[in-house]
Amino acid sequence: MPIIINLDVMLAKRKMKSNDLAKRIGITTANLSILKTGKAKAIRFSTLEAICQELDCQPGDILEFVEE
Amino acid sequence: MRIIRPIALVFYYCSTLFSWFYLLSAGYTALVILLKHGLAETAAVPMRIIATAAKSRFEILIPFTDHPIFLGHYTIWGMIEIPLAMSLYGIFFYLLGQIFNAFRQEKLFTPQAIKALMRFARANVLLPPAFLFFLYLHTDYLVEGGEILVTGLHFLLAVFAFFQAAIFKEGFSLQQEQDLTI
Repeated sequence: MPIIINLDVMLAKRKMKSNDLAKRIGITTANLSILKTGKAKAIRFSTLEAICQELDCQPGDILEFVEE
Repeated sequence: MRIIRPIALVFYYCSTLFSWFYLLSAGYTALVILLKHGLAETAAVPMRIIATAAKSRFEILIPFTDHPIFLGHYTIWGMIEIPLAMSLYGIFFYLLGQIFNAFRQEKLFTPQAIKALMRFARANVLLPPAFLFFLYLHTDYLVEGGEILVTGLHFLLAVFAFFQAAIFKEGFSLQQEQDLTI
């Protein structure tokens, strides 16, 4: 998929674990894993907003477009 | 779905009950016919053969009573016809029960539900005409409007089930997308 979610980078920068982020934004660890591994078909604005809030970043820091 | 699930539960158990009734009746009828022809004439088998000037017919009696429950023409194919027809209706109600069972589940649009609908559709398209053809070939009475009408009704049911399966396939695809929307 051309849109990549770079969550691992931001998690490392903020020294946060995936489980903690999942708990804070109110999604399951499994769903966060689906997001990280690129298996998600779509992301809700509310989820993106929650992630940016917790990781103190911009959507562009997490979302990246890579041509296939 | 709150109303659908209890209704589906009732119809699932009814269909399963009917299925068992038809399959057990088919087994009972077949067993009685085999015993009648395998054992001595004096053996107490719950089956009566009534010979008339025109043609003979047989009656299968309710166990331990003198009351007939099934009757048919006393020919080889006439004796095969009844257990066969009952087996087919046993299969029909079993497959119908599987569809109602799908409506009881937590998730409605599943591959199992789609398979159940397709199996029901295929059975209703293939089996009734095959049985009608069997009747036409092997029995010595005319296949009447009633049998053709029932075959037509089964075909309509098959079409309906096929359309439902197409809707379910679409629903499953949308559900998967929804599940992968985080």
